[in-house]
Amino acid sequence: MSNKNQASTRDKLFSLIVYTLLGLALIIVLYPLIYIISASISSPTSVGSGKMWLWPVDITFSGYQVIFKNADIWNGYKNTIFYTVLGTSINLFVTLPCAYALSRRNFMAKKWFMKMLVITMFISGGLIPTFILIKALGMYNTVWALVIPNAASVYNIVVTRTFFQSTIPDELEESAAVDGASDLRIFWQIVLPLSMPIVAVMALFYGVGQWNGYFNAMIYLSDRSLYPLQLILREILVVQDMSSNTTNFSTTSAEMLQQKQQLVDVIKYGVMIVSTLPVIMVYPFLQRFFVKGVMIGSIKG
Amino acid sequence: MKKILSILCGLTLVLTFGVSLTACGSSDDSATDITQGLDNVNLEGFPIVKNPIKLSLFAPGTGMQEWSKMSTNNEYTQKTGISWDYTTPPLTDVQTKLNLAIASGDYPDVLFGLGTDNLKSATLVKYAAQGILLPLDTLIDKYAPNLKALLVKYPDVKKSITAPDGHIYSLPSLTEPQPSSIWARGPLWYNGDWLKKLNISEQQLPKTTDEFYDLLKKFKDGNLSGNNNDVPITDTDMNSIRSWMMSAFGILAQDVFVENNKVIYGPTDPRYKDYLLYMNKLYNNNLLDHDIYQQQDEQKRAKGNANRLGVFSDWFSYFTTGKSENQSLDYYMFHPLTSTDSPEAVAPISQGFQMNAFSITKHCSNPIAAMRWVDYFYSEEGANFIDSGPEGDLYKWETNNQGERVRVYVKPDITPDNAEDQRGKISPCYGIVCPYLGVYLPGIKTQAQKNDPLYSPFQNFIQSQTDTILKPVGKVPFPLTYLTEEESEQITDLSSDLQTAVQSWEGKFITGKEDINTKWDTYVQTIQSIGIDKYVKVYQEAYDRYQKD
Repeated sequence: MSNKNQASTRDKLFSLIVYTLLGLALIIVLYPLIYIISASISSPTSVGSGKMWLWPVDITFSGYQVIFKNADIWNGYKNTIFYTVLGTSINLFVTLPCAYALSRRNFMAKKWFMKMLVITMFISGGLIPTFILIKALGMYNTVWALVIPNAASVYNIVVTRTFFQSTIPDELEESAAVDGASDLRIFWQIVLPLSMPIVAVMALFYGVGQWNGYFNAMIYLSDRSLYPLQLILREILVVQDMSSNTTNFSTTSAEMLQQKQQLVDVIKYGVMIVSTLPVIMVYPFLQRFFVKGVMIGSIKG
Repeated sequence: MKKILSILCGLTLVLTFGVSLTACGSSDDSATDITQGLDNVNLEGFPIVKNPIKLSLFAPGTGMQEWSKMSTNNEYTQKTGISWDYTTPPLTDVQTKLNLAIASGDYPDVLFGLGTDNLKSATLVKYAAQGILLPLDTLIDKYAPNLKALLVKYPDVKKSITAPDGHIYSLPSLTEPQPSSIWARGPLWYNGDWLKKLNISEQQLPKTTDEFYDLLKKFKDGNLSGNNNDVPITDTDMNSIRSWMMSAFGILAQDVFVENNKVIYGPTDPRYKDYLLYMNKLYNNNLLDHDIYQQQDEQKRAKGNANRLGVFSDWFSYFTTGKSENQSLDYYMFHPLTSTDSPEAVAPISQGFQMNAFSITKHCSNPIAAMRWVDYFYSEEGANFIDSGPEGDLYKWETNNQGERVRVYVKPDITPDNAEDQRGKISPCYGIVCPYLGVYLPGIKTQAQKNDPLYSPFQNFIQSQTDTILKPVGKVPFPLTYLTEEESEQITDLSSDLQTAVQSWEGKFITGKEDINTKWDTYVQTIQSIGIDKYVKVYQEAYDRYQKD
């Protein structure tokens, strides 16, 4: 009797601790989100002065109004969606067949290809040679500069290859071959449908990467109408602190910074929400694949 | 496997070399003849070229408008016959883009509006030595009458923009004496509301460090905003207060500065210790904002908007307070202070011009045309043109009831509040270091204000404050000048190491984490061991060279 009681108090204590820890984790994760949402609809002054710390104060939608009126932001949005869709498609188109081929035991020179791939993870051309290459290939200031150079990530290929190795038994392929299926058909009709988790995970990995990427765009694009959202945001949001300018400053710079600063104060948080919303919204739909996919790919060999 | 690897490494090496060699090869064509294209140039008036030409230009973009769509640019192209291929990366990425362009050998004909922030003087000297930038002296002499006249009028400018090898590689951004052009940084401003409440007139404002302390104390004790959370003096990271308070003790810069033709390093000078002690006293008595090292402009402005600040730094006081220009006329400028260390007030000011505003690269097929193109901006008419756009876009000239010529906004929806935005959409000279002669024109008026006095009350206020308070005591800490490539190499790392160390000690001393009296010697030794002697020597040589020219 007393034993049982003890056990249940222990259980309760255990649950209590678990819930407290989970609760803490929840607060840590949730607070910045709520803060940003609240800040996006509070007046900039109350955010700056610290009056707003959880719920919105002096509610105003002026930030969103400015954002929705800003043609640059929408053009950037359009570009980003286009680059993400196109880029991710190319990524998957390259990664999946490559990984599948590398996962097959009867593929000749598999080891050699793997080694070549892995070497690129450690040695790269460096920024300026790559830049010169892209220019020489005529990809400078075009969409292709954003989607071709990073078409395949070796890391992702390795993860995908491991997934194929461990979930698609060679016997399956053999029996399909006996039934007369070609290699392409095996890949499309048998392997891919069985590998949806890894497809979803790769789509998410690549997609988020493309969505957030700004460096390649910064290096390879010069035409503003091609800029993705992240580059536009960077341009708007990164304002030099006026007071940190020591010399070489003029009234016109001061006035420009002041104007920019005011704009940034108003739209800063709204823009964070607008730019991350699509990713946040897509995530729950892919999440069920996510855990499974990553777990299976996690044991490499 | 090992063999394969080594072959592979070799191959990669060969490839990289090949690429870099071809890159050099493509950029290494023979030295450009600066007079090429002369046949196509009209030596006077417009258009500049007989047959239209197209050149390329690299400049920082402010994101207001694409340069190819700015009416000023298009109108000027019409006028001159020179059209441009614009590359205008955002301000944040200008340096990266420029480095890439230069490194890949595919750089444009003209570098426009970069300033020393985006094109460091050391980098400029390096590019010049590599032959990437053309020497401009002959061109200025023969084809740039406006600029030539200005360089005669302002010999200091000519001294500064001449590189150590005796050539000019980059044109300056000039300003005909206008008040804020001598500001080395934003001044400190007094809270006019509070002064009124305390019955302190402009003449009674502090002139010594002790008086200043007393006033801050009054600000603190007066509870003038009524919330018991007043901040007598604030800034972000000491950036501005520092130079105003240091100069009260005779230290003109937290770096090298010139005193009686001798270069001195400020932060190890005994007078600097007094500055630290004074700031520490302000901090300990809750007069100096305790958030000073954490806050950003945003937080400072929030405090200003809530009228919680007594003395604060900003370019204009209303940037912080959020008031209108006309409400800011009693927010007086901080008067440079005196102390026992510095019985005569001094304050750091700037020379009123900026460097590295316009360069021509060796890719330029017609340097003379490019020089004539930019020279127009160094005339009053041309400066007004590139600054405010062609007449009829933003403003038009009208005559007011006093018979004076005055610029009036063309559209009723353009007001002083959004005029800068509008200007940024039509003119490239917005927020960048423009190669021109910035002239101090009366502000543009709305139709309704057309008959008001030419200069607004706020313009007059700034003018008189600057003239009476700053100008008489202003001193340039160190003249703008170029170092040789060798000198830059010696001090680039030193300079950032020193700054980091000095500022981190400054913070510890002021906030009281380290005791100034006991730790001062350790501090001086630490800083000196970083390499002050070499640092000062380089600057002393540069200064001597500057004086000799």
